[in-house]
Amino acid sequence: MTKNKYAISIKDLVKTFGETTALDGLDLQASTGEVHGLLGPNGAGKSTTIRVLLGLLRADSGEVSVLSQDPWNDAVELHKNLVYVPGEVNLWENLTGGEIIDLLTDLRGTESGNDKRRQELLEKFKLDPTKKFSTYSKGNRQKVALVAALASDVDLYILDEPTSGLDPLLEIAFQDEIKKLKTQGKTILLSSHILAEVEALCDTVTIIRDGKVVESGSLDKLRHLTRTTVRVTTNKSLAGVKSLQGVHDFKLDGHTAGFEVQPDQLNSVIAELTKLEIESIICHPPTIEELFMGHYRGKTANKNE
Amino acid sequence: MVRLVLRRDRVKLPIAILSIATFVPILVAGVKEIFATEKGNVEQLVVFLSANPATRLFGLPTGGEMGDLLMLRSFVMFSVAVGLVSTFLVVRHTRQNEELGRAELVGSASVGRDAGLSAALIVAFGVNAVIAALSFLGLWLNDLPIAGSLAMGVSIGLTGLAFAAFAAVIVQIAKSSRGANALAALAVGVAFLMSGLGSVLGKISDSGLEVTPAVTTWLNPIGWGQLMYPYAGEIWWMALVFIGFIAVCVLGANKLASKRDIGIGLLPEKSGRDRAPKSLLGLGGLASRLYKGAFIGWAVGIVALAALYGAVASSVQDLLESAEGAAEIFVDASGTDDIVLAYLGAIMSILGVFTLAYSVQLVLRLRSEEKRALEFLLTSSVDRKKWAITTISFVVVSTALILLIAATVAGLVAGVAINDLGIIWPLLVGGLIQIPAILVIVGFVVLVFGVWPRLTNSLAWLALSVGIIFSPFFSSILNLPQWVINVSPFAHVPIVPPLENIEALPIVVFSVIATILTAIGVIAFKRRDID
Repeated sequence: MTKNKYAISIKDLVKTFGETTALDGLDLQASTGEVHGLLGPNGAGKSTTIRVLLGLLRADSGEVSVLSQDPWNDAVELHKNLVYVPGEVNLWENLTGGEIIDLLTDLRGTESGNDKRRQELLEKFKLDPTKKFSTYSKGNRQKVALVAALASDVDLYILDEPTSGLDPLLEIAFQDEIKKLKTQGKTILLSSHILAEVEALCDTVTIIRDGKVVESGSLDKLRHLTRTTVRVTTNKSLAGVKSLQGVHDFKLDGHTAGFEVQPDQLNSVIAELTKLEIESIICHPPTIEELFMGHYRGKTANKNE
Repeated sequence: MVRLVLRRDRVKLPIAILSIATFVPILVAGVKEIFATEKGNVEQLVVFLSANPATRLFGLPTGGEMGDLLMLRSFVMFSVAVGLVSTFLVVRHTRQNEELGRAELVGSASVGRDAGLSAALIVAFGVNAVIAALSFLGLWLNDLPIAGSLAMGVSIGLTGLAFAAFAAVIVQIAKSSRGANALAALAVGVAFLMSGLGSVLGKISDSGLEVTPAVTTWLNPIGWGQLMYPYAGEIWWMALVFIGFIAVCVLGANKLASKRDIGIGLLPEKSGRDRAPKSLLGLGGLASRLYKGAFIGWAVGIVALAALYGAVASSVQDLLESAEGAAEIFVDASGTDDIVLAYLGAIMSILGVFTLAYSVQLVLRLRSEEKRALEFLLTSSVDRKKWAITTISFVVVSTALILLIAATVAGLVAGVAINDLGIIWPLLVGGLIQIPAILVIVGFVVLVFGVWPRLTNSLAWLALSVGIIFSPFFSSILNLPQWVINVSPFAHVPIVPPLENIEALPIVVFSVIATILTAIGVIAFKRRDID
């Protein structure tokens, strides 16, 4: 297969279900060898996008290319080179985890030579392969799908909220595995709700809402467009802070104030605060919800005030 | 809690109660009408039924009155029905609740630990009490002796309650609610076999009207109900046996429940293989593994039925002579004077309808798999068309296999019974010509699956009902107009044996239609979105 610059390329994708428009002119590019985050609130169209990329849904219009192939017409060939892990894993209740992993890797035609890799992953994710699928918890069900996916040596990994049931230790194991794949030059599309996970893993991010791209680019760049939330208690009066440049949504309650600061004014605002004798201060970066919401972004910020 | 159970089952329970309770007067009226003429007929039929071990399996002969005949023909059937209703009720409101997480929600509120179990048992008690009362009224109001009617009603109710109490113990032990359901249903089946075996192995009295049951009858609730001897000198103290059994089970269930964690049975789930065997790999391997259970279950059931029907072939002559209406139905349908051949032709037709039920529920797995694991298969480089065809092939081959085995077994048993093994060949033909008609309906389901996936289940059940109700032997009882009957493919399948009835046209036409429907369905499926 020829190495294309983009492992995934979507142009002006439209998908409707009856009356509702799930994807409304969506564009997305993921370069070969990068970890690309797909972010968006529930119902934004993340899973629909992924299901089009997998050839499970047929695009109404637009161009979709995955590993230089058409996911609808070349599904069988394409799937030899990609794996998919959904957020909700439903498999055969009366098969064991081990049987399912073997069956799925066998169907893809992966060489059975990766027994060592399989064993290593089972240990890493602490999954007992002898249990029936029906007895696994949600997290363990996800592990079955993850181990089956990671045991396959393919070019593209499409993961749709793959860690929603994992505990923090296994989340670290998961991130570790993704980083390993990245060093091997694999491409990963990761849809997620967990900002920490996206921050830790993704090179680039596409944020979608209502079936459209809201923002796309490197995570640092997106961060730059957003404000920092500050909650501070001081000895001296905070009343003057409201009028400082770059301060928004100011709320004062006695000696405590909560407000947001534009990134370019952060330094000067903090400098002013120290003069008021800070007793306690909490600053946090924008949450994922805040990233989703358009009015938090720099270009509209000034209009709000 | 009790009200919660009642509310969740506000449709299911009344339907179950009504269908069991209304069946009593219908049955009584039917039996009375047939034997309105003279008493001798009843005795004759009881003697005939007692003489045949195959029919004794379903009842214990106790005398020559109308009430005895009713007990003989219907008590075991009612017992199995109330037994299944009661056990499923208890499982549904205990273990299944736990598995779906409802029990945690309710249990974390201020109700006792055993509230779920108690509520389920109280409702089971109520349901069985209502069934007992309605059965009693249905019998008594039809002019049957009051004591016997009361005994029969009470024994039906107590049998149901005994199975409910037993199910309460099973749910504490079983690995999962599915396992509990299977075990509890198995218990009902074992009780049926034990009571049947008791009657089969029992000693027939000189008059041929009574059978003294063997010991196995004493060891199960259905047998206890029979041993209450409704209409035959009621033995009321048998109720104490029931009550003792129920008390022991309820106490035991409570004891076990206090030792058990919510959601986990006392028997741990067994570990399985850590690697897939070669036989599981590939689509065919997966299909056989997934559908093997259903196939074996249905095959055993249908083949057992075939054997049973075959076994009575020799006595069918007498049976049909004593009930002329039935004889007419058979003879009319097949157009032969040989009543045994006509009977066997009818049997093949009935077996075809049972097999249809198997084929339809199996082809519906296309849809249930789509909702479950299909996305994993398709993204593991499996071709959609290949997957659909693999599943459909399994349906076709297993359908043919069931009919083949059932017809062979029916032929063998009937051949031995009537001393003519040559009957196997026409029976085999009669069984296999059902296949194209079955596949027309299977093809229809595939078509709906491909074109209107969300309607798959409802239209499949509709097609199955049409296939069953309008099949020759059900429709002739219902007296439907011919054009309605013609909707069912089974109306056009020739009735074989006798062999000379065979026609090539319907077989060819049905095969073509089935192939076209299936092909359209598969092509549409290849082009549509996966749900």
